[in-house]
Amino acid sequence: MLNVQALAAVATIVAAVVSGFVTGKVVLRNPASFADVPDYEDTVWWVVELYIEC
Amino acid sequence: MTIAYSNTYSLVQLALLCTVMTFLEKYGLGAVGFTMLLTTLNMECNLIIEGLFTGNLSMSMDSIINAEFSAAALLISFGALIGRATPLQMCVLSIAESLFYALNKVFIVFGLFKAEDVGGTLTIHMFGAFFGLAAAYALGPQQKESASNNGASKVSDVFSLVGTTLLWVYWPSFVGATETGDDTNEMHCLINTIMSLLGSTGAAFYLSQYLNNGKFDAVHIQNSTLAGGVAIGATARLAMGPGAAFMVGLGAGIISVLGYFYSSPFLEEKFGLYDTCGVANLHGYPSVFGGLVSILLVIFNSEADFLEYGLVTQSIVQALAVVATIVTAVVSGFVTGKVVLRNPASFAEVPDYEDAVWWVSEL
Repeated sequence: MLNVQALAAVATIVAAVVSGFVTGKVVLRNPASFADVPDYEDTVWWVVELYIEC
Repeated sequence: MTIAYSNTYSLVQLALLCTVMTFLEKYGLGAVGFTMLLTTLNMECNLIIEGLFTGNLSMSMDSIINAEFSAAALLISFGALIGRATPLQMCVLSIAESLFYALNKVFIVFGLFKAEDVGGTLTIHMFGAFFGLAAAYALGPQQKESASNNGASKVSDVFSLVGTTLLWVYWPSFVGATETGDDTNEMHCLINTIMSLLGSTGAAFYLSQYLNNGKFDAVHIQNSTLAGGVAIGATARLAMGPGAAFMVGLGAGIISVLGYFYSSPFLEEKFGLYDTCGVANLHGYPSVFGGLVSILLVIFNSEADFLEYGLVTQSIVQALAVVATIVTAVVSGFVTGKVVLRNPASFAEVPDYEDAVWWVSEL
């Protein structure tokens, strides 16, 4: 039982790392990576022109 | 004593309705505070009025749930008027609406027609929306200088969006609140509502960025993501299958976003109808869509023991209940609006969309 739990933990880590890395390479690190879009700033994704100034 | 999941969380859902209305930058205290006042007042009235109408004045969890439903209809109407009606006017309107709401629900939808409406698409959302819109129309167009207060800030929008997210989570329990005694019906309500919300959320995000050149409009996301929950209420306990429920939500989400984008400016410009929260788009049009869909969806479960009639007759009464609810809501809302909102004491000098006049704010 202990061995099965350990194998399940290792297999989950391997499956997650491999699938996450491949997905990241394909989806995030490609020619359409939006390198010019600022990070940690969401105004580029939302309509904010009509906000009242506080 | 145990209280079922749906009963418990339908109470939470009601409290969250106010949070979505906090999008107004200068009306946050009013949105939350007046919601608390109006909800309690309306529930108290409903406990008496609906009890008298049904002939059952005994207090139970069911009567509390029914009073919550009445308050939900009122809060939907409040959404059309928020920022423009004074607290006193809203209190009077709350009492009047509890009477007309119960009249439509007890004597027309469930009494005369015996229509299927487990989640309140007709009795709550449709009635509340059209009552509020008719009252807003009676109040007249927005002509005050303070009209510029009708706007959001990023902080108020984030607060409102948190409310939307929590409403989304608790919406299924609201739809299934009356079905806690039947596991099958309750599961149908919960699963169908979740599938419908998934559809409307996807539709709202896609269509919002499509109409805004790749950007999301917070108004669409705060409201149209919930349109599936509005539309599925009439048919939620039918065994329609997850695909049908998803399509109901998808259609409701599309209708809702298109309403915000095209209908709201049109109604303001052509009819002078100022709908502060856009309840026509979140509750009005999706509830009409849900009501019309119910005419077809009874096909999926026409043998269900909770349906009063056979397939054809049930479809007809669903259509009649939709028409009757709209007529009742519009007439009663317009008359109430004319008497309560559009009178010599209409507080014409009070600024709109600005609650500082109603709260101690000097400190």
